[in-house]
Amino acid sequence: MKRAVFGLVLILSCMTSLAELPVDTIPNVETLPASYPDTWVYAHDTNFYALNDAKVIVVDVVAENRNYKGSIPSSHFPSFLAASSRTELYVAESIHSRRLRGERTDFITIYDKATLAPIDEIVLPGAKRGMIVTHKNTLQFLDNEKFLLLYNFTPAASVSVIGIEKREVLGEVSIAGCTMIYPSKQHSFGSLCGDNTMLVSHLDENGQVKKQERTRAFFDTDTDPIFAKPAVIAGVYYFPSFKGMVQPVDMTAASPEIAPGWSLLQEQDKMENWRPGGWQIATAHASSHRLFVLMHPDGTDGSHKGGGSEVWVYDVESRQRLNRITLKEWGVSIEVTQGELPYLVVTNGNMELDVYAADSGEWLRLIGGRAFEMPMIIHASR
Amino acid sequence: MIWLDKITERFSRRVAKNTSRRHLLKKIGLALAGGAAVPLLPVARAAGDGGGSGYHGVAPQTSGNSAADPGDPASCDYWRYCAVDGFLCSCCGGTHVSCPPGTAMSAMTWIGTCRNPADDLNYIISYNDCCGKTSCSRCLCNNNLGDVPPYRAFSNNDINWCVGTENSTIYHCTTAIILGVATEK
Repeated sequence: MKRAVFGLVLILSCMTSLAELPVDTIPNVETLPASYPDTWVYAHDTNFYALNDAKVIVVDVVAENRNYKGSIPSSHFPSFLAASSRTELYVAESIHSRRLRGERTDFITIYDKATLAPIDEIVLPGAKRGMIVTHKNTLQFLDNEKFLLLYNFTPAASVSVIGIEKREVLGEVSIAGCTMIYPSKQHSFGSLCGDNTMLVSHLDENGQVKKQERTRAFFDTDTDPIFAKPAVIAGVYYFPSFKGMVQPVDMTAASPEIAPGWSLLQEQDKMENWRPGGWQIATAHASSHRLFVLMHPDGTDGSHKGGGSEVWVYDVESRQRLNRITLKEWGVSIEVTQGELPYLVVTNGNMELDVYAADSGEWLRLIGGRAFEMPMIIHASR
Repeated sequence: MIWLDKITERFSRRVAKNTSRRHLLKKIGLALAGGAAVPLLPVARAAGDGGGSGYHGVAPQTSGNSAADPGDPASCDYWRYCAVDGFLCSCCGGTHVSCPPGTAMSAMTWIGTCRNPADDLNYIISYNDCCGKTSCSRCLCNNNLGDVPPYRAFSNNDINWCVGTENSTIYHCTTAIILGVATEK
């Protein structure tokens, strides 16, 4: 009898301490805020080992866990751009009617930031979208996000002008012999050209080209090419060169002003032959006017895509180096978040993200676990 | 791109394990100064480790004319690959001068200039992509001697040159075809 009473007490005790779990709700799909915190980034994964299955991953670089917020798919050599004035993300991509073959269709897929679900698409005529390993300046906004500009290459180079409001293609601008899209603060955009100039295309309010002009030659591709991947601070584009110069181009006016170039290197740096290198080699913290450049020593012809062991930080007003951040792992691409407390995000050689405090250079965390195959470009949320 | 995935992982780990990165890079620089025929970038160094092609599970090959065209076409340090960027067709069912079965060779290409160590001449190399199947994924190799940004498109190895290929723009692998001897260095 005593044993039976003891057993009953034990059972009752278990029932009260381990209450039955409630039933989970299905279906159950997460959503994100319509506007992202400034500590979130978009990791553009080119996925070289399966190029037609690239993707963009939304990452919270300060969270201790659940950093991976979600993703959107994209096709072969896509371009990506996030709006700041609306809750939309844009992916320019191409597919074939029979997956890897057949009729080609180019289009821009529009995703909603909160659901990461597609909400519309803009079909692009002519099968001419440029396909190149990910560059930020293949897809850009103009005129306060009124127009979307997309780089084409067949190899005839041109730029499609798309009206975002009505989601329609408005026109096309030839940029023969030139590449990329560097928007000004007015109705114009620049493109770098093989003759060492910048072609400037001026648009009217309807997105039609009304004038084109060229700057003087301001770099020398034969002796020291400038990277086509600049950092931008207050409308001024900072183009590092292969050998460690910086060429500012002020795009605040409709016609660019070519400012005097300056060197990233001190005498000791020159002796050790430090150079910029990697994929996204430069970025900026715009509000503090700081330029960040991924650097490597013992540079050679061909080392410009090799990555770097340090990130050097400059005040672009004084042109003084403020810091040298020694990376925990070899770096390939860099980005800085734009909040008051900025974070330096580095795609490392293992194709994972290292997060550093951008002010101090202190390493904070690794975000990996095969989240990415090849995050070539990191876009800070703006 | 020399830092790609496992290759760079091996590079980074080796650097961390053996020596300072700067020291290793200085060694690379010295090798270049010593007249190496190809840039000994990290991927090439990785490819040079352990004999053979250096790619795990990839056996070495010859060009078929080793005296005049020396080296291993399944290795990233084969002289013709001085400005290549992509998967080596030699590892994908093709050769260094031919595409794998069922793919299409791109008509448009980018051009590099590479020195043949056998005759010390500079050759103009056309890096024709092979198109129409998904990424080969084998023998990824990126060397950038003479590569410039895409404002000089035909000297840039980042562009998908399958864009001009009929029926498919999908990139598969890359060849390295001699167009002639460069008349100037």
